[in-house]
Amino acid sequence: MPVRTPRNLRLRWAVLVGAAGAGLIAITAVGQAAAAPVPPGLAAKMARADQARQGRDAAQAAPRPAKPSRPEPAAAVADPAWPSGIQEHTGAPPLPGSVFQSTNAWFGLVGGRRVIVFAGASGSDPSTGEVVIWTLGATPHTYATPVSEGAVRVAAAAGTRLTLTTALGTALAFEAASGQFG
Amino acid sequence: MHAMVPVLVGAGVALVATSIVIVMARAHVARAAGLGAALALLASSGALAVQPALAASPPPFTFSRYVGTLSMYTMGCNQGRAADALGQPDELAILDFGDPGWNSAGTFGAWDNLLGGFVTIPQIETGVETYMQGFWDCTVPGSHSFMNVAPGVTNHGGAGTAAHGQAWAHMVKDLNAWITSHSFGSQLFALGAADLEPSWAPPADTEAWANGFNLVGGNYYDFGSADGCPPFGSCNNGWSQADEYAVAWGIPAAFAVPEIFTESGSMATQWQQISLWGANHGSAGAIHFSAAMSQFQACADVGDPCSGTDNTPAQAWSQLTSSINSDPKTAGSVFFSTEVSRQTT
Repeated sequence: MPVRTPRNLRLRWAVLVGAAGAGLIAITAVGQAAAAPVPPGLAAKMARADQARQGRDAAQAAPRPAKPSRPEPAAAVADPAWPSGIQEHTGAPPLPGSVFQSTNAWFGLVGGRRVIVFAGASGSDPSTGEVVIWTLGATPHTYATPVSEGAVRVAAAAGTRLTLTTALGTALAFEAASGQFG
Repeated sequence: MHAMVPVLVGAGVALVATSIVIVMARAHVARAAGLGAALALLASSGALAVQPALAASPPPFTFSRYVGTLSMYTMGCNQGRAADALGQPDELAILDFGDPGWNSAGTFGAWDNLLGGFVTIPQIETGVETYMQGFWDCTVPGSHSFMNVAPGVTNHGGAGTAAHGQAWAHMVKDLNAWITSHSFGSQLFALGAADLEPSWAPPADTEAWANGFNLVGGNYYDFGSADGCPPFGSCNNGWSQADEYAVAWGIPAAFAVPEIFTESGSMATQWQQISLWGANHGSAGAIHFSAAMSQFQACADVGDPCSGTDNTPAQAWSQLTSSINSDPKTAGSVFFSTEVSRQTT
């Protein structure tokens, strides 16, 4: 059986004082947290989410249609035709905007494979013109223009030989099949 | 000095107890306020309760896509089978159709280079429906798998206007009407998605698209980046943390699925800092991240090593989770994990 000495009595009191302090602080914290209002923007999000959830809940409660024993698509959906030539409003190459910014592009076939040549500039240095050759399904390759006159664009195409123009009007020849300037 | 030790112990107890109580109080107040309901859009009904407060291990991931075909039945089917096998009662798949645009007839759509050009919104709608049909068909009868399907565009190319945002939101409404008409609502829900990156467009244009979407209704996932943002400098292209916050969370329609590609953890840190900005100044408080997006598979699909930006889904989720929980103001859970792929099945 432990002996109650003045020393361990002091210890108990000290721990009790600490615990009481914890209780007081905790009660204050709960009070503050309970009083914290929901930000108005969050309330708006909650309202939308509630609407979606109600729809989902209703669907969960409704009878479900049967599922096919052998799933198969009803019919294939036709993909759009592969464009050709110079396109002004194209999508971007698979590169972040911080790496490359495109102006326009040339779509074509090189060796029977779909190729897009994006003209533009470096995403980090707009004064450096760049060309990106992207063979679909492969890694895109980037080529810096031999002159630093800002973003370039594809102005003309004859087969796979492209004419690029810089922001200052300089014309540059570029071969899409090899990635060579000149 | 020796006599102070018990008092310090008591103070320590006070500190720990206070921390625990504050965390509990925050969770209680959040639930009481209906935050669980808000997040239920992204998790199963009432599912905040089944989501661990601070999950320690990454959830199973889904495949999001850079879409390369409109025949997406097999893609949805395979995801449905995986969902049943992995036990994913709630998940998301973002289907990225490229850059916003319109054709010469004035029809809105997207430039999808993997598909080979411009696709109209009606074509996209048809493609997404095949994905959803595949998901429904290939999950088992009575399945508990639930998929949030989110067709998306980028903010690249200058055509990300308010009108395009509205058109995209109407498409999402149509997709949900299709789900309802087929009685698939127990397993499917449609949202929009947008890869919103500072380097691709000025903030005003991007916010115009987001506000256009918001005006129509519905919700979208922002699966963008925060190029250049603090603590690594200033956001690119004139953006601020406030702009990032607005399009990723501040706008009522917006939910955040940030790209967490960098192995260094820098992208996770940038998003935590944006969330912290929101906690201090934002209209909707700190961001509740729906998911982290990684690109390991998309890089592997084209044999690109993606040096330094090749996080796996687990790495991306863990980085974001760890980063947001480094500060009590941004602490929370990341609900899902999704990996973008270029595969067509």
